[in-house]
Amino acid sequence: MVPLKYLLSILLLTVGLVGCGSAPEPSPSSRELTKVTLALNWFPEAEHGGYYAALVNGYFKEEGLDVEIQPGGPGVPIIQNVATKRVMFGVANADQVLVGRNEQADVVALLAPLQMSPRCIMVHKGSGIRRLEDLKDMTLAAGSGKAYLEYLKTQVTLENVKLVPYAGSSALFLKDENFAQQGYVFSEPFVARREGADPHVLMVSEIGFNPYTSLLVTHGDTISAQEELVAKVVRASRRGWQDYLANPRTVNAYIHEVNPEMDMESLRFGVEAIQPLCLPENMPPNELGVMSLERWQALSNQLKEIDWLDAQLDPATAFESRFIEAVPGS
Amino acid sequence: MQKFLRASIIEVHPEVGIGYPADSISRTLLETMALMATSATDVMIHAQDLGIAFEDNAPVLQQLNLEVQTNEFVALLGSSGCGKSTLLRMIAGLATPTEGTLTVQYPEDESAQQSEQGFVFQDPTLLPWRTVEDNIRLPLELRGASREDQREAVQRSLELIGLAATDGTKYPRMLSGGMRMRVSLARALVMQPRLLLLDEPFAALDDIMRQQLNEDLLQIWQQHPCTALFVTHNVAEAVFLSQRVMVMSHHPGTIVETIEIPFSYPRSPELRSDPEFARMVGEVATCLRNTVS
Amino acid sequence: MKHWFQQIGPIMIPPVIFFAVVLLAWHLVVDINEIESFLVPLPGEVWQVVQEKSVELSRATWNTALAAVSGFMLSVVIGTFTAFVFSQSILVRRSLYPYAIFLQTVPIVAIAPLVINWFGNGFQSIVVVTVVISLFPVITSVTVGLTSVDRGLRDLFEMNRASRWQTLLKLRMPHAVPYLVTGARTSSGLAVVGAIVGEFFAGYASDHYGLGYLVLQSSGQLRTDLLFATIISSALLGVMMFALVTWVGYQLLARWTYAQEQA
Repeated sequence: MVPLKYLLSILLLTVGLVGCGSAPEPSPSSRELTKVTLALNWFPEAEHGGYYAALVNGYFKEEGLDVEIQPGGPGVPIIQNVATKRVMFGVANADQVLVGRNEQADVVALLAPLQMSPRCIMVHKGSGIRRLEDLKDMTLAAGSGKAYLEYLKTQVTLENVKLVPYAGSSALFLKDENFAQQGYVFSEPFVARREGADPHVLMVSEIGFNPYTSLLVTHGDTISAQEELVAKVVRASRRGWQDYLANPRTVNAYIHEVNPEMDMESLRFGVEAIQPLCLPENMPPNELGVMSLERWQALSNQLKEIDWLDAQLDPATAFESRFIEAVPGS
Repeated sequence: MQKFLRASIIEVHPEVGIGYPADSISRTLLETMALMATSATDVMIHAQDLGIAFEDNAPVLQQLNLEVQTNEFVALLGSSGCGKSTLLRMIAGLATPTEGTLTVQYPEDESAQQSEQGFVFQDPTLLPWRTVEDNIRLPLELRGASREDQREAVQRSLELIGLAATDGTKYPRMLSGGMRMRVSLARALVMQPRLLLLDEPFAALDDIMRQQLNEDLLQIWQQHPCTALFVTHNVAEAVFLSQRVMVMSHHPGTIVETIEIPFSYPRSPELRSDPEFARMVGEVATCLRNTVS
Repeated sequence: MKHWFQQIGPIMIPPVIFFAVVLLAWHLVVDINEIESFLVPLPGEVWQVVQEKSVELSRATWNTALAAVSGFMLSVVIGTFTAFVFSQSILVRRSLYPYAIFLQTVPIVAIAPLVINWFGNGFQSIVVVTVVISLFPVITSVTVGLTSVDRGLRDLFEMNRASRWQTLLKLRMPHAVPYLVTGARTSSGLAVVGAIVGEFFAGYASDHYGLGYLVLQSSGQLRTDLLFATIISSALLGVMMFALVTWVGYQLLARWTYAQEQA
């Protein structure tokens, strides 16, 4: 028969050890959440749905993270903000990451929710143009300083096409049958249709320019110094994306709250249109967000072709896949 | 009745400048009488009970009476602010009386190139972007005289004033204060005016220059006789130049006394050393001092 | 008569030395702190890109200059004419002047899309934007010049029975010339800004682009070296226009404004 005192102390010790063992992380306190900033590259919309899902459904919180999603807008310098550590994480496109790295910005991609680029050129159905190669005799509103446009110019003749700046509104498109403008497949065409126009969408990815889009990016230092934190953010984001594609409604309601300009109908259409971009050709959901070296290599070569990247830039340094592979399927 | 009188007056004397006070038949009658009076004698400028006030302020001039004969040289003397410049401007037609009458009658023998009056301002008021010549010919130019006439008149004026032909192409910026004043004088004289109005023209110059210009002015006046009205606050200047000195008082301005200056023309610089001159200066100065106290 | 070098020397040398010092400091700061190229380029990198892209830079500068000069000259003409109208009628002046001020204060980024809507994309819209930005200084300065004539000079004309037109032509207009020059100098710098901003909104064809296009291009590529080169080109263009206007002003005014007093 063991003395009671002895039993009690062993009990206490065991509880203590068990308690220590199951504690997730040497963190100051299990109640306190780590503050994290995530900057978006545009006004909140469907292309950011997964990140908002992770927030709304509490996935970030479960990982002990207090994530602040900062809405963006036109001209937000995501790459610069991440590279100077003004924000911890950001959302950017693959071509921006490569270009940034070319200018010594240490930005690394972690997750690629949109496998296929939503970048498109929108024309009027009545114009008869059905392929990018056939674009001619019209005005094209496209933003200057965009990689896709420079690449497009080298691949396609653009005979008698007058390039004008993209003002952000579809007003000019709606007025003129011979007007084309840039857009994202889940956004501008929907708005145009709603205004009574009959747009036809020409995907830029069809000429082979297909950068990963809406990437989760961070600074190289953050990956080395705060590995666990990065793993958590990636994990939670991924869950968020998988969830968003399956059940977007509550998340869309939240996005609408944050960005009243985006109505529910547009968001609903957005999610639908995004599905084939996130999981193309029946990719299983547990592979959401993976990145391959071939894709990065191809993009890098295209950018080098148009002289936007120095020849010696190694695209392998632009992304870090290990945080995705570490996560088991949903 | 008033309108009829006005019309008839204008018809008879085309060059008359008349100040119209507030409507009153008695004033109009006074006017007519004054006009008839001036045409009878050789009076060129006639002011009776003249007054002027600006907006709602106190009158600047009040109950002012004066008479100036044709070809007389008269000095208007007063301390600063007594309204002498305003009086001059009224005679020039730049200000309208609010009380009393003012008639200015010009003789009828005018050639096309003669003008009624020339005005010399306190400041030379030369157009800085024009040469001396172009400044002098401005009055002729504004009246549409021919280029030939303009050139002749300018030459005449330059000589009269003692400026060299080479000075003609200079710009005012290049000239001294005294020279600029000469140019201003030349401009006032270019159309051989019947009435010369001078508003403290030499006040900004130093004493030597001022005396020199006084002598030159008298010389010119003698060569080309005209009625001259010279405003100044310098007693010696008034005495040296004029036949009569009209002393003005302050607030409101009116002429308190007219002093005859008995010296004959031509007057030489030596006159200034004459004891009689000093006495006259003293007399006039005393009168002026009395107006202020 | 001093040798030209002795005259120009004291004026030219200090800024040149200052420039060299700044250049050196710039290089050292970037080099030592290892500042990334997407933030600040090295002076050497800027020089290199100037050489590499000299053709594009000069073509872009030329196109922007065309728009800036056209807009500037229109501003001078329209501004002077408006000032004439303002100077002739107090009623007109009081009615319209506030709107001229309004035109000046509304931000151009708000006006530009409206301009594009009405005039379409292209050179004409860029010129319109340029005019909007550079018009006001001309209006104000010439209006002041026409209406601030000394009382003495006005009296002189009045006494000589000058007509309204004579007074405008022979008195007010020459009087306003120095004011016009002052206004034009301010306006010339603004015209360059206008031409560049106009281009942000009104566009470019692939072969007819200006400095505005280059600004967007270089920002998109995060190429601060090219961006710096573009900025320097615009600044030089502005300086050149300013110098040109000043020179013209000097020719107009020299004789009667800057001449030395002699007699």
